[in-house]
Formats: sequence, C-alpha cells, structure tokens
Amino acid sequence: MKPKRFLILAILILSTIVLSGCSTFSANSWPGITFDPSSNRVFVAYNTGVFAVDANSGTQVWRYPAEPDQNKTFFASPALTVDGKLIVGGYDNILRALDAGSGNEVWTFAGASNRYIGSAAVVNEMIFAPNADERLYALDLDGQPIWERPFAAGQALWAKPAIKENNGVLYLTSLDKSVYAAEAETGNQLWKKTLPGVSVGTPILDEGGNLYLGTFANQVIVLEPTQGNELWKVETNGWVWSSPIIVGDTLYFGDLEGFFYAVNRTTGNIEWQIQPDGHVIGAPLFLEDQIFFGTESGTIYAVDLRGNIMWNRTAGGSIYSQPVSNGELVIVALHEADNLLVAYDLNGNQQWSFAPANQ
Amino acid sequence: MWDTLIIEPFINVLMAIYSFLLNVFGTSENMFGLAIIIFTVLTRLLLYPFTASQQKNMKAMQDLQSSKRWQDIQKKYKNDKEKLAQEQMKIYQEMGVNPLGSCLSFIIQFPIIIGLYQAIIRAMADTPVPLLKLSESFYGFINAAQVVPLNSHFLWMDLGQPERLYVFGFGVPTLAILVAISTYFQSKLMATTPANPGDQGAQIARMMNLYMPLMLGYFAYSFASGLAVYFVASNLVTILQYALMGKLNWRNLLPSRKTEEITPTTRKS
Repeated sequence: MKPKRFLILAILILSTIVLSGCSTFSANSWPGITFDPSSNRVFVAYNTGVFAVDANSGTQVWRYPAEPDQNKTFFASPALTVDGKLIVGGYDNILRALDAGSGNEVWTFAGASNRYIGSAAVVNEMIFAPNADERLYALDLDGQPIWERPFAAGQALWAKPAIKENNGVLYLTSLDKSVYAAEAETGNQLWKKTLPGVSVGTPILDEGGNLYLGTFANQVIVLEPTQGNELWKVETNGWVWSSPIIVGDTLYFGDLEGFFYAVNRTTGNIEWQIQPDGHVIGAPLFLEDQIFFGTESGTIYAVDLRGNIMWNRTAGGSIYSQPVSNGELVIVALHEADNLLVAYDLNGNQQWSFAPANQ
Repeated sequence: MWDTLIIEPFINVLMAIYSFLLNVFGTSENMFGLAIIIFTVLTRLLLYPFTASQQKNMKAMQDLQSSKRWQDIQKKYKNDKEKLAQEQMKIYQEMGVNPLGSCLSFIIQFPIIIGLYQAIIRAMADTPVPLLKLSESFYGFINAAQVVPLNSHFLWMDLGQPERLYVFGFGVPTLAILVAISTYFQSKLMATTPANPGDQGAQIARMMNLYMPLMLGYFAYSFASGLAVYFVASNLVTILQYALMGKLNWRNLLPSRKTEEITPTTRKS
C-alpha cells in the first residue's frame, strides 16, 4: 500500500476509534440494591452481574449470569416476589425472573423495546415493570402480561411505580414531566398531572395517600391522590433526584446542589438543612433515630433528626443509591469504586466490603 | 479541559437554541434536529473567515504552481528533492503563501465534529449517569428544568441512534446515503483545477474526494443520526456559501470534466 493511502486509511480508522470512544459512556448507571430480610441477603445489580451477598459476612452467594456477558447489563434494583423470585430488568430490554435462592433463571419477558432503568414494583401477585420505551408492563408471577396492552406514558419511565394497595391505584413518574395515576388491575389511566420539571423518583405515599415527589424544577411537590392537585411545595437549591422519606412529621431528602433537608410536612417549612461534601442523589435511609445518606463524592453520612452529623466515612467512588440495612449494618452500593458494597455498623465502623471477582 | 472548552459550550449553545425554539413553537417535537441545523449554520458563519482564507490560499497556490518560475524549478531540481523543497519553500515565503493553509479549515472543523458528536450524545442523556453529567454542564442562563429531558425525535429519526428508514421491513440508511452524496457533490463542486495533476497534492486531493464521502457516510451509518444531520446541513450550507462567493465549479459534475481536470495539456494557466 502506498504511504499516502496508508495515511488516509489511518485517519479513517483513527476517526472511527475517536468517535466510537465518545459513545461508550451513554450506557451507564449506578447499582440497584435490595435487601431481603427473610434470607438476610443483599441483592445488587451492577453492570454485567446481579449478585446475592450475605448481609452478615459480605460473601457472595451467587451471581447471574455465572460469567460476565457485555450484552447483558443490569442496573435496576432487583425486586422480590412472594414466591421467592427476584425480578431483574436489564439494559438488554429483557425482564428476568431469577430464583432468589440459587440465581437460576426461571423466565424471561422480552416484550419491551428499550432498557429497564427503573426497578419493578411487586404487589401481591402482580409485577409492574417500567421501561424506557415509555411503557409500564404488568405481569403475573409467571411472566405473563396481565393487561390488554401496557400503560403508555409520553416519554421514558425510569422510576419504580408507587402502589396504594388498599385502593389498587398505582402512581408513576415519566420523563415527560408528568405523574400518572392508573388502575393496577387494568392499567387504565385515572389522571395525569403535569409537573414544572421532570421527576425521576418513585413517589412516596403518606398514610392519607398523598404523593411526595422530587423534581428537576428545584422543588419537592405534594399532590393529593384523587386528582393530582397540588397541596404544597418546597423550593430547593437544586434538582431533587430521589423522592423524600417520611419520618413522623418530617420529610428528609437531598438535592444536586449538595444540600440535605428536613422539611415539616404539615407546614412545608424547612426545619434545617446541611451541606455535605457532594451532590445527594439517592434517597436516605432511616434507622435507629438516624438518617443515613450517601453523596456523589463517595461519603456516607449519619445525621440525627436535628441535623447534627454523627459520623461520616469515605467509602470511595460515588454513592447514588439508597442505602439498605439489616437492622445492624448499613450497606451502601458504590459506583465506579474498587468495592461494590461496603457495610458499616451504626457507629460508622466498617464491617465488610464486597468486590465482585470478575466484573 | 476538552469538556470545558469544547463540549460544555457546545451543549449550552445547543440547549440555548433548543430552549428558544421551545418558546417560539411551543412544542419539543423536531426541535432538537432544528437546533442542530441552526447550530450548523452558526458554526459555518463563524468559520467563514477561515473558509474565505482557505479559498484565497488555494487560488494563490494555484497561481503560484502555474507560474513559469515554479515550473522551471520543478524541471531544474527534478532529481534533487531536497533542493526542490528548499526552493519551493523560498517561493512560498516570497509570495506569502501558506502551503498548509488549505488544511486549516479541516483542522478546525475536526474538533467541532468530534465535539458536536459528544455534545449530542451527552445532551440526549438516555441513562441516569449521563443525565447527571448533563446537569453539571449547564451554564446559569439555561433553564435546565425546561429543556431536560431533550426530545430526540426529528422527522422519522431518533437523533441519539443511527438512522434507518424502514421500507417494507428493510432498514435503509437514507441519511448515510445523503451524507455520502452531499459530501461527494460538495467536494466536486469546490474542486479547483490543479496546476500539476500528477503532483502529490493533486493526488491526495483526488483521494480525499473519494474517501471523504465514504468516511462521513460510514460515520453517519454507524453513529447517532444527530451527527448525520450536522453533516448534511454542513455540506448544504458550505455549497451555498461557495455559491454566494461565486466559487462553485458546476462543470466538475459533467463526466467529461474529470478527464479535462487531470490532463495536463488541457490545463488552464
């Protein structure tokens, strides 16, 4: 080959590599984590594997698939069913039911046309799986569709739906800046409420059925459950990614400007706010009169209900997921870190860490 | 550094245009595609001084290479490449011609192409981490709550995915074909008659005219269709720009012109 042609060919190949390299970061998310009290196991989905880890020791019980496959990636939090299955949505557009004890595949559902970013919700014997193809799929425990057709939103669904069991209504947020209410039995839409900004979290329901939502319009909004009318809202400094948690009369949540808030849910007033060391994306966890939350800088914080920082520990990487607990340990999942899971006791002493053998 | 200087400004310009279009038309459908086209026109206008300078330089090179002095040194030092190069450089300096001037426009465009591609992909933010990164890229004047998430639908395309138009079940890469054709026409219409069709520069130019449509067509086939929209819009705007400058060589499209171009005896001087 002549040098000139070689040069042009080299430019072609180099340009292709440069452009190809640009697109790799798009298929990216953080770990989805679930705790199962009955088996005392943590299930975590991250990248090429779903892992079952013993919550006391941090040892791996099984992984799915047995060998990493770059075409099968998982980020949505696994959901447990009453008959011992683990429902796992993949970035390969497949929803899988695994045996929670062994990790063996039980069935697959291939009816969706995009990624499963949000976790499935399981209520009684129904599975509600949101997909980025703008559809919510309702399946029975054998993976068979329940509704005539999936519920259709205006844009991608990234969040697990919230379900009020006593009236059979489910609520879900969509990237079309809306929250929907639908009948869980039929999938028929009851109402739709347009929000001032996108909400990507699962709505939290209080005892009266009111919905609490974080939005990208720098607000947490409270809606009544029958028509979706706004009751009140609180302004924040930045986008609110996850919905708040409710402890007594107070809401706790963080924002992308790096603030963490306690808001009185009767008055809507901010009781206190603190500024940890980075963006707060995941929802907090309440345990033993303490609130635990992680930051993008990879630090786990424990604060009391008055906003005093009890302790903080640098776990590494970034913490984007809500911590889980078995009552004695607080377990956090890390994104882009040496370890995938780190467990602390309630005084902040690290008890174990878990890194997959072949991720 | 790359993010701060290239990607983030691109994202914010794209978002500012997108936000403006949202306010004007009241819908997000097709607006990001339109934003890319407007961005391309703005880019071409900003690059106009380089384009004009490139044209001027090419004309000067063409005149220089047709001159008797140039021809003489070609003959005189045809067996002494080193001396020939020295003499050529001396003439370049005397005449104030930059032999690499023609490449400048391409060199400037290349980071724009890469940057635009990255900006489009990042603006699409179709998974959580990219959306998080996008949220950190906005300048203060962008109404992030309004523009996020971006509507990536444009005509029949999803601008974040490679384009295919399904006809009877077959995915036809129409935009990739359009990119290849428009790039070919652009290079043919803008080609100047080389003073020495046999010299290295003319050979490289001929090869680039052949490879560039294939290369850009391949990019359009493989990567996000937002990039292909940029390529097509950029080619059309460039053709229009050159037409307004009166520099289009329509006769190059005629089949007989090819022979005329490369035959030294028919060369104009």
